[in-house]
Amino acid sequence: MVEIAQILAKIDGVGGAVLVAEDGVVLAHTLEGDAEKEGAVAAFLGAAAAQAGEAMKLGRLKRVTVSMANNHIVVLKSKEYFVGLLLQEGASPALVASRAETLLEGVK
Amino acid sequence: MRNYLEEINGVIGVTGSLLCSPDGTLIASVLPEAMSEETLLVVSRTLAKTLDGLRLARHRKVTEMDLAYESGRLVVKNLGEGYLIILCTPNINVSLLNLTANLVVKRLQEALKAGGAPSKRAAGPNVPPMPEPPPQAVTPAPPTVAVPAPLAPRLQAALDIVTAGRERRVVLRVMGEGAVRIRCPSVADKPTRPEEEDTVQLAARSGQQVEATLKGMGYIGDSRFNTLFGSERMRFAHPQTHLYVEIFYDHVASYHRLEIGSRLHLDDCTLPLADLLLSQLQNVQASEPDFWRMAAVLIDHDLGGPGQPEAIDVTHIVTLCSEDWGWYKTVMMNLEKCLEWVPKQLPADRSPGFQHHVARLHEMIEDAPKSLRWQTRARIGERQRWYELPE
Repeated sequence: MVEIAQILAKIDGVGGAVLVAEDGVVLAHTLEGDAEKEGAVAAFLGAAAAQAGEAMKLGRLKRVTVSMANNHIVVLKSKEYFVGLLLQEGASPALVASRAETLLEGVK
Repeated sequence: MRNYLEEINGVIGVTGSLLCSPDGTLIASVLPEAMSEETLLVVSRTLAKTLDGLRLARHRKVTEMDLAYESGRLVVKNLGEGYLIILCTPNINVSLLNLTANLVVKRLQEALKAGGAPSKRAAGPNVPPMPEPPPQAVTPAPPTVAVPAPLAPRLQAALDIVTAGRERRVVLRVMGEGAVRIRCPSVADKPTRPEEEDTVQLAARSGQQVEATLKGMGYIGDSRFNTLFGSERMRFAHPQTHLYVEIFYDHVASYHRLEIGSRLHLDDCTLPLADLLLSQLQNVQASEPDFWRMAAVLIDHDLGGPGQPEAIDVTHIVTLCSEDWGWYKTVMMNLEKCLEWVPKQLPADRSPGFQHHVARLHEMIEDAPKSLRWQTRARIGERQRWYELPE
């Protein structure tokens, strides 16, 4: 798990990565700040997005991108856990998500 | 409201859209397939709660959320007074969608602020829906700033200069006291300094044909002042209207230096709200008229982020105050003074949101990580003057 977080954190534009179970337990991270808090945000986002998608019958959740002021968070659904990526300023969420999805595919 | 949603639905890849209030109550929806009211409520409330939860967790307002699924996509835009939720196909071209959606967002924000958003459905799924307002009940706001009418002649003259500049491809924006009056109805009955009564200030980028624009409108330049200071400032007067026009190029140097050259394009007629607020907050010796203006900006506009012209871009203020201790010191000092002064002048029901906006802004500035330069200067503190003395 730690390796996956480290690989994801090496993607250009990623400031930190956190892997979190659906119940909010942090499995691994590369964050310098409060990993529990970031993990909770990722799990919260993932669960809410899954609920909205389920209600509208949109199929499996792939990812969520949140844009705030000048930063972005990308949350990906992988296996039994969520991956939260904190992007650096100016990074492209689409590019980061695409690279992260490719990397996660390789892990499966 | 349906008109706006139908406009968005016209974009290739969009299959439906809905509008809800900040608590997730449905305002309007245009969805091609029959989706039950309960489904829409689940979605709107879930997403509204999520955005609110994120705002609390991150101390920042979420401007947009994009949810990608196997067989669809939801794009959520925060309007301040509600949320726009757009249902799309999985392969939607989001840039193309944003071209239309961002224009509609501006109009929706105006319409919601104007109170043109009666709920289509009430709070619970079992309550019968309220009748849809007739389309003509909503007046689409122009894609420019909302200008209160009637404007004082000098403010109208300032906007005429902006328009004349636009025709010549010269970017001019109203700034200072005049701009606050244009953007903030709350300051309409508040005092003006005598020297401001026949003057307007505009911002421009250097190297443009500002002089030619103003001369073309009958203004005469102050040749002595313009020769001495023309690279930074210029003055003009109109022989008939006796209106004085002051132009600031690229920056405003007063107690603090405010760079504005790269920010002129962010709004159609005036400097962006964040810069208008900063130009008031930078005043180390602020007096009553200055406090009224600070208060008006914070009463009449929500806190927001980049790309929201009707909200105060907090990120710009926080960034500036996190880089420069002098700016930090003066802004925080004036926010605190303002917070103390305004409630004594205005009852809380006439200043909705003011205390919350000031407290949030204060907190965000305080919490933001500071640059090394900031930390170094902070060690010296007030022992050394942290501001310039304006001429």
